[in-house]
Amino acid sequence: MKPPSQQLRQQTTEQVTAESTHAATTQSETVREFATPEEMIRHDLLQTKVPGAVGKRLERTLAAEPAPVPKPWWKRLL
Amino acid sequence: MAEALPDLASPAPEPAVLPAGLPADFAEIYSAHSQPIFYLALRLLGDPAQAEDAAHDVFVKAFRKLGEFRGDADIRTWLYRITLNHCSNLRQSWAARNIHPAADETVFERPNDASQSPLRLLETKELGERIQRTLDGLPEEYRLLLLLVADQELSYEQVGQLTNQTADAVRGKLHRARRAFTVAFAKTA
Repeated sequence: MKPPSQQLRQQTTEQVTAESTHAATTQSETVREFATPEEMIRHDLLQTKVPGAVGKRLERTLAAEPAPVPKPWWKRLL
Repeated sequence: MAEALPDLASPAPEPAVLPAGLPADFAEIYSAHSQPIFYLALRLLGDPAQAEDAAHDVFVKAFRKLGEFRGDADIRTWLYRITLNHCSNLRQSWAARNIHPAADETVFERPNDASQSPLRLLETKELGERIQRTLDGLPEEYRLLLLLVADQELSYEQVGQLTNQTADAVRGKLHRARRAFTVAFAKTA
């Protein structure tokens, strides 16, 4: 279903420009290739962090919630 | 996906910080699943603030319904189901207030050289914006398929359950969805 991972390529180009005898600026340009849209989306997902505010807000909300009531055993059989 | 090869190019997902104030078992659920849930909400709603609200609401609903969760289902699938329903309700309420033109699917079915070219991009922070614009232009069904299939923890069967179709139908439509995405993505450059 998914193409082999060997199809993934990453090309990196680095240019080092000497600005003075004591300092150098490095500019890097990375070009990625994705074999499928899913790979690109997966990459984007992994770069996307959940804002910490979500967890903190969830803590406050759930602190005011009663503990969830387990489903009765006889309902689990239905 | 079950038969997928490991994605060697991407780093392992970074678990979200375990919120100290949550019940321990629920905190583990949040830590393990909040990133894909937030991402799905973000890409379906297209707005970070709305996605934050949605992710919060999804986990509140999950907490309340945890007693009803049947262990025979995968918890990731269960959380996705809640997220899809929640985002669908939000989008319907927005649609009732705003009229948006429907995406023209025929555009994506035309042969186009761009669909044959690899997906290349200069890695910058605009990747997310381009993906969002691309997904926004796709038919709802394609958008959903691509977002769900991108999660390697879901099998085609589970994607089919979430989208009310068979695994074979998922495989068939995925090909067209990939094509449509590739064509549309090229236009966002």
